[in-house]
Amino acid sequence: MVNHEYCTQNTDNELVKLSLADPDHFFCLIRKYEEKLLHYIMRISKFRKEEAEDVLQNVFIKTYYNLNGFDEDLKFSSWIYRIAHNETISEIRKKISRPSVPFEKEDIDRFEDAFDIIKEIDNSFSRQKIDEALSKLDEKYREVLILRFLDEKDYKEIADILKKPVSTVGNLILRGKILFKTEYEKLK
Amino acid sequence: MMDNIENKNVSQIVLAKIKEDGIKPISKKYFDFKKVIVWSSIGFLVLVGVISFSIIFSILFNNDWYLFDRLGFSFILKTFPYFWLASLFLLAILAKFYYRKTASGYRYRLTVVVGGYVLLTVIGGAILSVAGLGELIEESFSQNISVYRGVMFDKKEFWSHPEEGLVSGQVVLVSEDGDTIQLLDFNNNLWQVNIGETIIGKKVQIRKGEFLKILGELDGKGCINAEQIRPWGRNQINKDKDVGRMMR
Repeated sequence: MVNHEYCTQNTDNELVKLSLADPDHFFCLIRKYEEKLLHYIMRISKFRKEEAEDVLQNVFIKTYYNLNGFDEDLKFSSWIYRIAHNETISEIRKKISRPSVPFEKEDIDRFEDAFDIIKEIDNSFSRQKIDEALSKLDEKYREVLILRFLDEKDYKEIADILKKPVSTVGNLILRGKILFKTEYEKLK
Repeated sequence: MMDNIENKNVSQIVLAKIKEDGIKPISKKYFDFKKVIVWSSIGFLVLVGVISFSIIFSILFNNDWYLFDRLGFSFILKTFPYFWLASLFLLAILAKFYYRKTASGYRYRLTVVVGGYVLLTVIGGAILSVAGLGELIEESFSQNISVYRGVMFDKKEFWSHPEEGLVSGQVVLVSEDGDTIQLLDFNNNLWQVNIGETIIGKKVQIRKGEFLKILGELDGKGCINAEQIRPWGRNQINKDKDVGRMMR
């Protein structure tokens, strides 16, 4: 029986193999990643939850369709984030929208800690400023900052998701942090 | 069976779609085939790059560098292997394109990928060149592909300017005292060449049937006073070391 307990007994790579034999096992992978990916999609796009869920469904269908192409040298999470990233960017381009970033309270805390920002008493004010500052950044900086400080991915994972060299990711984060702080300071 | 888990929305929709639409994962063979195609293309590009470099090395090693003193920079401009360098540039771009298509191709910077390709082809090309294959391939191209001859430095044409002291052709007669030879050039003109005071490379054979390059001066009587004689074709890599043997 494919249930929560069963799902947690297997690693991602084992679940990939099991899903190839029986699509019911793919349920475990969907359950494990749907929330994280939904947040990620919403963070890098301007989509409402319903729109993001549509994108997410496509992400899982594409993941299943390409399951045999999964390279075990990668972490499954990096691979599925990459698919989610590409699918979302493709949807953003179709809608020609300028992404903004929906934040949870923990996200704001993480950002404030990471950027050494003086904490605001009013969270909604912080949220608005971070959102505005991030929205002003170029896509290449915004996406690495979101992956690094909101999704808490390490450099290697970000490199695998965005298909960029680790050194490039490092440079983008460094430059992105400076640009973000500059934009954030302007809003004070 | 998906009991005991709440919020089944996305998972249920996705699984239902997979089943209703009969979606099946693309065959593993398809991905394996793609890998084979990509890596074969890279292998092919490396091979062609190695051949290109071996030809470049052969052209550079066999170039008549001693003419630089006489002709200056125009000699380099005339004889530089532009075609093969342009080919290599194109090959490196293609190699980078295909390498990016491999699973790990994004992990390295453009400079690393192109630099690695160039290094690999330089080493391979040097080995082939030392083995003499570069020259063989170049000669084969020259003899069999007219378009190639059109884009490459025309050695025969270059060595067919007696007024500038550049003559080449086949020895048809050697005088008994060995001081003069008769040379039939590639335009079927017969030249009398005085070789009495000439520097001759060790590997040059002054005998009937040999193809030679002669650097000298045209005298007023229609004869060539040779200053240097070189073999036309192969084995000229160490020619500078060979120079020095005088006829007299």
